[in-house]
Amino acid sequence: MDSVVIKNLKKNYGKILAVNDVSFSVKKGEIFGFLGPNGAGKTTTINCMCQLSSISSGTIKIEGFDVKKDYLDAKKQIGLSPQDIQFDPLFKIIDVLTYQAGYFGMPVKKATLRAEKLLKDFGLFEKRNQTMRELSGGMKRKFSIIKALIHNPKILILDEPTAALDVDSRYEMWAFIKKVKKQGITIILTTHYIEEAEKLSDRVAIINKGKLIKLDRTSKIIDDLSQNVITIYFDEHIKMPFAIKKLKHKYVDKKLEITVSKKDQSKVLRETLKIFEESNISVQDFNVHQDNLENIFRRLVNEK
Amino acid sequence: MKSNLVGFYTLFKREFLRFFKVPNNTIFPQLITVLFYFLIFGIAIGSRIKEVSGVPYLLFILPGLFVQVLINGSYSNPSGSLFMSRMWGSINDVLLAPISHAQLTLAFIFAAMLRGIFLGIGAFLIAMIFMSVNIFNFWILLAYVLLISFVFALVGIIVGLWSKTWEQLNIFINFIVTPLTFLGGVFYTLDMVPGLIAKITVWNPIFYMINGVRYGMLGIKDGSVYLGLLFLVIIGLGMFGFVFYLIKKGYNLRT
Repeated sequence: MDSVVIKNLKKNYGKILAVNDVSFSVKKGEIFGFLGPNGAGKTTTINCMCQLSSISSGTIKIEGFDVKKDYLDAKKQIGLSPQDIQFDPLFKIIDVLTYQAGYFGMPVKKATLRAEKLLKDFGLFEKRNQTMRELSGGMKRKFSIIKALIHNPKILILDEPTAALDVDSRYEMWAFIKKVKKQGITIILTTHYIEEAEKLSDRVAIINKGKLIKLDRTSKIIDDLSQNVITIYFDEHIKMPFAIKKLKHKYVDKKLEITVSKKDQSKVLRETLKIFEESNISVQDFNVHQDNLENIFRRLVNEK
Repeated sequence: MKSNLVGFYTLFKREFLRFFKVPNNTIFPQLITVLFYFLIFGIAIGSRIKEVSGVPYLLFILPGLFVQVLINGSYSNPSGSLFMSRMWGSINDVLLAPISHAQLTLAFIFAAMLRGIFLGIGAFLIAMIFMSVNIFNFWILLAYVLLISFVFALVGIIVGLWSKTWEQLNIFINFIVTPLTFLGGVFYTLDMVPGLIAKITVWNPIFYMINGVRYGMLGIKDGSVYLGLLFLVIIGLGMFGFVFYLIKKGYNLRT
C-alpha cells in the first residue's frame, strides 16, 4: 500500500491556482523528494496533506485515511517539520515536546521518556530546560524534527530541513534522515538543495507553477534527462567532419563540445574519437562533464 | 478513531497553565488593580457613602469588581493565546494534532473559564482583607460565574481568531468591555444615577451579569436575576455554535 495517495489535487487562493490538478503517490518507506522553485506549490501541497490548508478539489489519502472524511486518523500518521520554525517561547523545550506528544494521545510519563530519548539522540538533552529562544538556528531545526517525530508518525514531512544549517550540520542531518528511513518511516523531503534531494531521495517529483512536471526514480531521471558534455581539445583549428555536424555540438576556439544523453555518452565518445582518427585530426585532450539533478531541474523548470 | 481525551486534556492544561508563565502580565496587574479599587473607591470614597441598598459601599462594589476580573480573565486567555500562537505559527502544533473540532473548542473554553474563575477567586480573597461576606445564594452565584466566564471565553476565542494586529486584539476589551463594565452598575444602583445613564444601563448586558452576581453574593438586585440567567444561556449557546463553526471552518487558522 502507498503511504500517500494524492489524486487531482487543486488548491485555490481566491483566483490564484496554487496547486493545479496534481496527482502522485508516495511509497511506504521511501524518501520522496518534492522539488520546485519558490512558489511552485510544494508547501501548499504539504499543507493540504497535513490539513493546514483546505483542499479546493481532489482527494488525499494518508495511510489509507482520507484527510477530509477521516481527518483525525489521517493526522495521526504524519509528523511535520515545517519550513518556518514555529514555536511558543513561553515553554521549556521538554515541555513543548511532552505537550505535543499529549496532543497525539500519549500519556505524560510515556511522552516524557520519548522526549528525553529523542533529545538525547539529537544531542539536545542538555538544553531540555531551555526555551526555544535560547537555541541556535541549527538546534531549532533539529528540535523541529524531534517535535515532528514525538508521536511515532508513519510519515515524516521535512520541509527544507537543512535550510540555514552549516555544512557539518547538514551532513549530520542527512545521516539522520537515512537513519529514520531505516526505521521504515516514509519521508517526504522538500529542499532547495537539489544535491540533497539527489543524494537522499529514492524518487523525485518536480512541481512548477502548481503543476507536476516530472516524477520518477531519481536515478532514472538522471539517466533519462542528463545532458552530459564531451569536450574535445585540438592543437589547431579543424574542419569539422560531416558526421560530427549531425550531433548537438558547439565548436569554439579549438574546443568542441558535444552534448549527449548519459546512455549514449560512451558510444558517442568512442565513435567521435574514431572519426577524428580516420580524418587524421589530432586530438589534444578530452573530458566528459557529467550532468546532475540540479541542471536537469533547472532545465525542466525553465522549459515548462 | 477513539476520542482523544488525552489530547483534549493536554490542550486544556497547556492553555490554562500558559498564563502562569507570565504572571506579571496576566495575574498581578488585575489583582493589584482590584486592590486599588478597594482602597480608593471603597475606603477613601466609600467612607463618605454610608450604605447602598442596605450594605456598606465596599461590599456593594465587590460583585462588580469580581465580574470585571472574571470577564477579563476569561476573555484574555483564549484571545491572547490564539492571537499569539497564530502570529508565532505555533498554532500549527495544535492543528496538526488529532484533536476533534469540538474538543479543541471546549479545551480553549474550559481553560479560559478556569483562568477567569481563578482570578475571580483571587479578587474575592483580596476583598476578604477589607470585609467579610456571607454568600446569599451560592447556586445562583455559581450559575452566573460559570455562564459569564463561558460567554467571555467564547468572545475571547472570536476576537483571538479575528484579530490580525495587537490593536484589533485590544479594541474589544478597551472600547467595549471596560466601558460596559463601568456602566454596568459596578459602582452604582439605578436610582443613584441620572435617568439617561439609568436607561443606558438597563440595555447593558453586563448590568445583568453584575446584578446576578450581586444577588448571589449579597442578596440585593436591581433587575430580574432569572431573566439574566436566561439571557446568558441563550447568548452562550448561540455563541458556542458560532465559535464551533469558526473552528471547524478553520477561520484564520487554516489557509
